[in-house]
Amino acid sequence: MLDAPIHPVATFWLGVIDEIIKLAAVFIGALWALWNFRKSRTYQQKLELEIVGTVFINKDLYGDVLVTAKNIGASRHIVQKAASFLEASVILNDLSEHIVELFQVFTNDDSIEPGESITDTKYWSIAQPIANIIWIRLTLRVVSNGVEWESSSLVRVVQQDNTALDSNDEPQEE
Amino acid sequence: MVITVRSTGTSSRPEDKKLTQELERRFKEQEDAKQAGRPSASGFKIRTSSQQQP
Repeated sequence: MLDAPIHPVATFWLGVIDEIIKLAAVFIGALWALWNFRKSRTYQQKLELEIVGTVFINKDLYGDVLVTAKNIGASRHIVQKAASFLEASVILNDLSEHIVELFQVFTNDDSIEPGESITDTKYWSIAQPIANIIWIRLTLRVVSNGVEWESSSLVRVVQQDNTALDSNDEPQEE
Repeated sequence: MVITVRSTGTSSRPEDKKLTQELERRFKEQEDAKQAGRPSASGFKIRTSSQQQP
């Protein structure tokens, strides 16, 4: 009888409160983990596109481009080839823009594993007259599992024979 | 000579199905025009990696 609690009812309710606090802590911890998981988008689809192109004039205007799609997420991508295109357009000296060519890209690749990069190359020429072409815009669109990614790059055309320009993302000096 | 080149980076959004259909239609038209030897809609004479001249 010496070990009997002095306030049996208070002990009971203290036990109940203790259990409630533990349950709330577990619940809040689970919510916190879920929120962080969703915020990190670890298993969401993520693609990084890169366009590197060169334009030069040798009587006609010639262009080549290397397009890269890198899977920077943790899930696999299935490339929708029929919906993935590289669009080349010219911007004239009156600032009007004209689409000159559509290329289907990544036709040899079915999927991109996490961390993997796929590349494709295209080249073209535009016959004279080309004197009024100021820029070439290259727009890459890749579709995978109902999501589309787009990247665009602008290449300046210098109207001098054998002048090569690079459309890499960083400004360059010649 | 300094050359300034701009790139928009990569943007993503839910697929625009209408744009997909439009691109597919334009690509088909472009390929049909090449097969038929018609000039491109832009008026420029284009040769590409998939269509080398003999």
